[in-house]
Amino acid sequence: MNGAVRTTTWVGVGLLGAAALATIALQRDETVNAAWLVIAAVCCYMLGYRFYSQFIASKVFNLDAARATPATRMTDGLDYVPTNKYVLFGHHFAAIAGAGPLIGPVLAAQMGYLPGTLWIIIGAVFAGCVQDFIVLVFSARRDGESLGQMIKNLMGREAGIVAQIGILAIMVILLAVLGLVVVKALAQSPWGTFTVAMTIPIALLMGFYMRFFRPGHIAEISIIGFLLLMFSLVAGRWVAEDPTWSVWFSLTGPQLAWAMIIYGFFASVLPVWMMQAPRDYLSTFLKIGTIVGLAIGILVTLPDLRMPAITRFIDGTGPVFAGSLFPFLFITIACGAISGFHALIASGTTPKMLETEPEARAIGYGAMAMESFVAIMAMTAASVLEPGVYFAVNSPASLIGTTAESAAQVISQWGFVLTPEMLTQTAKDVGEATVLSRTGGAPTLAIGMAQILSAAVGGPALMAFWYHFAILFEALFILTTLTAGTRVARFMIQDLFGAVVPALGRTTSWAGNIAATTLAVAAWGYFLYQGVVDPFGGINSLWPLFGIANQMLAAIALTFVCVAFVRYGYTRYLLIPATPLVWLLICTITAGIQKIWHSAPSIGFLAHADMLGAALSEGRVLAPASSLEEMERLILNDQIDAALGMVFLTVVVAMVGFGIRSIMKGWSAAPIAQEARA
Amino acid sequence: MNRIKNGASHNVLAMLFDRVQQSARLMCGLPDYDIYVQHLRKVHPGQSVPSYEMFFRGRQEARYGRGMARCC
Repeated sequence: MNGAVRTTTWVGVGLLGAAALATIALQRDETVNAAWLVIAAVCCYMLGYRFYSQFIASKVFNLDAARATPATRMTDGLDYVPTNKYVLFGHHFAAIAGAGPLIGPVLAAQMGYLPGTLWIIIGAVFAGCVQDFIVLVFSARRDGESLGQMIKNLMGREAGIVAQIGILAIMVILLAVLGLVVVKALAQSPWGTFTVAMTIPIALLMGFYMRFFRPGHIAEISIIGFLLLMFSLVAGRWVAEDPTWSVWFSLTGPQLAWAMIIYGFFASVLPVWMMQAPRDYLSTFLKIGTIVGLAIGILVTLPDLRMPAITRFIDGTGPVFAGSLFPFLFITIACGAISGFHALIASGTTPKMLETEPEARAIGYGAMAMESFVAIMAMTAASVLEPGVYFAVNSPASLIGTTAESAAQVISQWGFVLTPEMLTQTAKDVGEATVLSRTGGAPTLAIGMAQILSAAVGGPALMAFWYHFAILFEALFILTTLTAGTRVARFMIQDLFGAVVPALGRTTSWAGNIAATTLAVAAWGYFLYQGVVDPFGGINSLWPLFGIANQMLAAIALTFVCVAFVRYGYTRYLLIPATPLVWLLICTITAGIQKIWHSAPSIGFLAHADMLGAALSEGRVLAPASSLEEMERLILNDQIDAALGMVFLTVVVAMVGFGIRSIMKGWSAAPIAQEARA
Repeated sequence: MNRIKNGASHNVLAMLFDRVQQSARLMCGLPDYDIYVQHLRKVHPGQSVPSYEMFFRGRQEARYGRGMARCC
């Protein structure tokens, strides 16, 4: 391509993107087609990749193919292996893609598709992709060190410990919230519960097959596992239609919560080949397949978005999560715009496999752009639903009641067209007894995906199948994360507290392992159970806490990046990481303060505790409590949530303090000439 | 293992299959066994080469043993 053609092409991409953004932002009376969302996002990612990441790659870091990467300098055939760019891209994308980008946008759709979409696109281009890319570069130049090691080396041991405590706290709330998503999706759903329960024997079978019968034949056993999974998906319908069996698999929220707690404990103490590894194979391949399938479905059917661009709930009175657009939108959608977890992945296995340094750009920046596109697809899936149905699925029963009639009446008063027939028809279409108050995002996404996929393949007859396929996919994925995350939390507990209680720290002793696993499961299990019995449906109050934690991790990563910029002599480009950092700090700290101290009981934990306390002192019992003892327990829950919020705030403030200290130290000293240790 | 080897005589499709297979394995934490064996032979000639089975077990433990910091 010669210069003129190239310029024309990029001007064209810019104009097309601008036109698409204008269409989704300005269209008010007619419905907007999903194509505009897709075009706007893709054009922005292309421009961001071509110009911004190019600037960072060549002007800031001077990425150089001649500089040896850890993979070439330290080849060991196992972790450090020079790996083809596209192969590594696939590996990195599979590691960063999770349930988060599929759920956050669905919840944020209560404010309309526009605010969330803009944050996903702008956040990815200027914050998320930049964070992933830069952390990957720094790690690759430091022999593939992890984020924790880099923080310790550059910012001191205390900073490393505080970051570790922060990561442990976020693991706990992450696992609780993800568990809650599964509970909400499976409660009173025999079809879904049976299918997801069957993943346990299927995983065990795969594990034993791969251990003793055909070791290492991953493709073969994954295909067998997938076929068994599809069979149990079909069998789930028979279970749901059978009067005896359906009773066995209709579980209440608290029953499911206990089942998950028990499962989580055993799955994470069993040898990894038995449960963890086979689950991971299935969920990894299913996830990639589903993402590709959804993308094809959206591109083939190009559905219209029924959700308005902006709803009245930007004022903070929304039923899905409480709190106004600023700051809560920016913590509700974490993954997809920017996710702190990616900093752990970008400083994990990926930097050890880079073949050449410039490839960090396509892998770090590019994979995050793709992840952000997954969030756009989730937003699309939520927005193709009739808005009235969306709110019926996502509002807690304490607001809309438990019958189709009461829900239709309340939601019509909010200004969204909804009849009881629409609700019963939707439930019938997807093969469930009811879709009311199935909060947590997964069922909404599943209905949206079922609409899109059944329009592409199979028509209405297959809608129930697609719905339960989507539920299965998310539950399988989340249960895998739960198993892996419990193990991570267990080892962190052993690392952190092993110094204080030596018995706990012995990772080879059964007693130490069981004690640490019990602590880990008890921690997330507590918040899970609390969320399940919460009158607002749990997601309403706990998702923001999770969002705060996730953005806190991103703030820690970006603080490190800012320090590294100054210490390594990139001070003149400090605005690149400092701008997203400041924005994240503003959002996270404001949201944290509001969740703790806001005067509205629906937002502030302490205000809610006060409200219950006042009623308690008068001897009144408020729903959902049925006794004064339960009231006391709810107050304790609020206080613990507030305390956790304070832990997050303290960690953020402390990390920024450590960051400023390191920067001051580095400002006067000459920059460390080359960040590479070699 | 009937892996298709990279080579000039193989067509693009075979290479593509190879890459996809390598990606899929890497996604679940299994690096390329042949590369590992080549590396051992070249750098540590005296060392005995573990069977694919042992290699697979070791990698499984390395990936999942301490849990994975999985993105949400």
